[in-house]
Amino acid sequence: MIDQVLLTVQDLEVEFASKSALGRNKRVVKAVNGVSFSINKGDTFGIVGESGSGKTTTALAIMRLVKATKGKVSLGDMVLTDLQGEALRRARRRFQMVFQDPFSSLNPRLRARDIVAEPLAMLDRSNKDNARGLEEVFAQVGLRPEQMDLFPHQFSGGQRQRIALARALVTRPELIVCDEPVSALDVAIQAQILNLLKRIQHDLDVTYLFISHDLGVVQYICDWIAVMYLGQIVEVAPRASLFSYPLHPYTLSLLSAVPSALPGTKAWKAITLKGEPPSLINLPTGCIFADRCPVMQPECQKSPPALRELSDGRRVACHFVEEKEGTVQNTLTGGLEMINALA
Amino acid sequence: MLGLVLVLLISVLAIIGPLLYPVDPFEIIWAPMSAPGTTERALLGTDYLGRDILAGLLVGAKSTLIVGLTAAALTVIIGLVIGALAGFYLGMIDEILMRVTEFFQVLPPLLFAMVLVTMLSPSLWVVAVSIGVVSWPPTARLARAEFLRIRNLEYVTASRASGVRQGYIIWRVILPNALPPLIVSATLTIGTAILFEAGLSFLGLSDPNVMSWGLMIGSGREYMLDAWWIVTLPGVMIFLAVLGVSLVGDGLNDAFNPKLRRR
Amino acid sequence: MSVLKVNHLCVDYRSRTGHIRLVDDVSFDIQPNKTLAIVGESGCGKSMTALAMMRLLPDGATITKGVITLQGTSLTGLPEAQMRDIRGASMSMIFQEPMTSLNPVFSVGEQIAEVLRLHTDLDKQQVREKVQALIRSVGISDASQRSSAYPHELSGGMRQRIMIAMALACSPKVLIADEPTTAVDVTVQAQIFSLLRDLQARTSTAIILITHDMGVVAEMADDIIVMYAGRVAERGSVETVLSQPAHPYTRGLIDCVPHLQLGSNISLKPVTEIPGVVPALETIGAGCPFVSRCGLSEEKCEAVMPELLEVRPSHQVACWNSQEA
Repeated sequence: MIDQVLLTVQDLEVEFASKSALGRNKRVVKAVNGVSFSINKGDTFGIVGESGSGKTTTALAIMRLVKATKGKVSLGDMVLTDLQGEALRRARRRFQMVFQDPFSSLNPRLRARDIVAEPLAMLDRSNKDNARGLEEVFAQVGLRPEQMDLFPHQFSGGQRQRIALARALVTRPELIVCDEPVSALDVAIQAQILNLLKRIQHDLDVTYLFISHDLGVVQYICDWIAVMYLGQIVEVAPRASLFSYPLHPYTLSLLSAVPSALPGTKAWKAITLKGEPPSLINLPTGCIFADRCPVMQPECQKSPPALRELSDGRRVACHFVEEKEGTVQNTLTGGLEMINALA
Repeated sequence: MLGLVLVLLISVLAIIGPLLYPVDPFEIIWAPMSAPGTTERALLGTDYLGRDILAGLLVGAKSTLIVGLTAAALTVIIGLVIGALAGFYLGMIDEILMRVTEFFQVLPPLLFAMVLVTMLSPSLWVVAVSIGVVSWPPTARLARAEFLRIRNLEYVTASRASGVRQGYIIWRVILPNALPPLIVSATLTIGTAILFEAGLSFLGLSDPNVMSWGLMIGSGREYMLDAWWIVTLPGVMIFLAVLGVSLVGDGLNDAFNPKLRRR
Repeated sequence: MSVLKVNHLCVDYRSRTGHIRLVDDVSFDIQPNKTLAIVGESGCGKSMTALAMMRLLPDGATITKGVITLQGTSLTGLPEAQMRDIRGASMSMIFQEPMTSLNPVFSVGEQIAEVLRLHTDLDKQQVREKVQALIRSVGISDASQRSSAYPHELSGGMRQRIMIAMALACSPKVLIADEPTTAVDVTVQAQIFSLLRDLQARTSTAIILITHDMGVVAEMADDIIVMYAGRVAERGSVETVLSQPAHPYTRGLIDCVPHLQLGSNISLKPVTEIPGVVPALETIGAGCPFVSRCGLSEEKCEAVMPELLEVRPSHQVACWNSQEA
């Protein structure tokens, strides 16, 4: 089966200007600073990062809900960043979004059926016939037909996310961007929604862009994962590689910080990073992770490392990643076994 | 609730009253300045010309309500449109609309209304429109504030992501959610409009051919010390009407809030 | 020698339709230098239990039964004035959202100083020095500058550290932490846990950690109580409960989360859902509250509330099915 690329993001940049009190110094915040990646059809591509990493802004820029200052986003052969006005509106049926907060992403004044039907009103006739019936999509997300007439406040958090997912599915999109779709839910409900997302992907052949800060969830549901820090991607790898052999020191620190609850697994100690993440306004020269990196070297602060592609398709932005005779390693950190040494 | 009862009562009086008691309030029916209860011909007494107070109250109810509702409706419509557009589009449109709002807000309302009424004919409708034209700025600000708040909520972003048009977002997504405080504000505007009209009548600027409570007070004020009922009875009616409307506004406020709080 | 003992605590909420039992017969005790985790989903009563201990219950909620004893003194009957002396001094609490728990109009140094002024006799100079020492002790360098900062000028992680500094200012015997790291990044969470462990070792404070995250429990706690619908479902040492969970709900909670596994040759276990939702407290019948979602339920489960019985040393479960195991 040939892997077909569905979404391509090239050199995406999103800047926010914040005026200081006197309007003189216009500080520019680069929330997304040169992000490039591509997603294959049918895959789940995850972006992980902490607050300030730019992952949500990236998702919003791809959805054209936030203006991208630079860069190109293509869905199939349609260049999304070139679309404006009516053409953009019509194109939206191909890419939809599920938001994080089930309590604020549904219009409180509309019934569930109207919320899910909203995207349909914007389709022209040919596409309308193509869209899923309301009953069908409700059933697919596990809701009962009689619930279609209820208002959002009559549903629980998990049910509201199902409504949000139904709304995203109704136009038969090729891509669904999920922005932390389970973070606001109780753990038992998270499991239900995660399994639902997996089932929908299997049944309906949708491609997901999955934004999350929860590495356990990302490991469960994503095929490829990009790690973001301060607006840039520091590592992109397929699931097996990322969790068995992370190459970037930030990825290593991030993974080590997740507490482990599985009985019987040897718990690892967290690598505690020094200090606080720098502000997005004063970005450091050189590697953005340099001042907090547990294995920082002098040259790290001089020049920023490029996101280099390795032979297995992975990409890492670190000066010390080498590829020799087919094996890849980070000469400073080694592999997972270094976690306890660095912690 | 008390407010609703009062408002309904006054509305009923306005509509049915003159039918049940078909006395022309401008007709002189008895001796001037007769106290209430002194004669069967005029149960609530007569004014300084001998006109029936009760008739005046009943007919006045209708004109008061007309003015109140029309002015309030106008205020809400103008204020809502301007506030919604300013709060949604921001930027230059917001700046321009806000300057216009401030201009109208700075005008002394009474004087401006007086000018309008004097320039055009002092009919009841002109009075209502004038009141509406000077009272809309606070409503516009309220509408703008609500739009500013709601436009950043996630369900609005979700609608945008669904591909809806901007007009749809303004009128079908944001507006229904912005209505509650505006409705409450509208009921309070009714009360203000009634008082405003009473003031204009008091100054002699309202329609002299239509009996209104304000007109009764205005024309009878010289005789206040000798015949207190000429002024007090219409005054009490104004008080009851404004009170009723304000209570309804309070009640609506409470009714809208718990639904939001329950979320 | 327990520093805090809770015996058969019951908290009721008076609503329009009657009384709802939010916390039903909860008992536990905790030793110095130990961490007890109270685990459950939202609505299970874990926060209410914590607030009951601090006597900070919201309007309408009252302790209707049970005794809470802090170092021998009964807290349940204590007059409010004496309770105020205890709060912040012998027993303190940190909350989930540091932004809303800190007063935005006072500097953080001022807020720490307030705690010291309320409960100690230190003079102005001593208070100032202690505030800086406290800020340093929670890992914030540059203490003298930071102490005049306002909450909105600090990051989430730093605000949480300030909360910890405030809570530990008077060296309390018990620190209650209500989901202290749910709102912060995972790397900051690691820093905060490391900090709490250090401080605990130095001051022998007993920590009651309220969380829904089993990973956090495994990292930080010695003992665990699992709550469901206001009742204790299972309790014991973290080692035993996490490796051999006896209550179907505990098993469900552990299995429903995708746990991060590092290394090659990982087999990803499917995430098993707990069917249904937590029932509304008013609708719970006479039997086990978990019966509507439990795969093992039988007639007895619906009729009779299971008691907490010992399954193995330091491990108790309230489940009719586990007794047979």
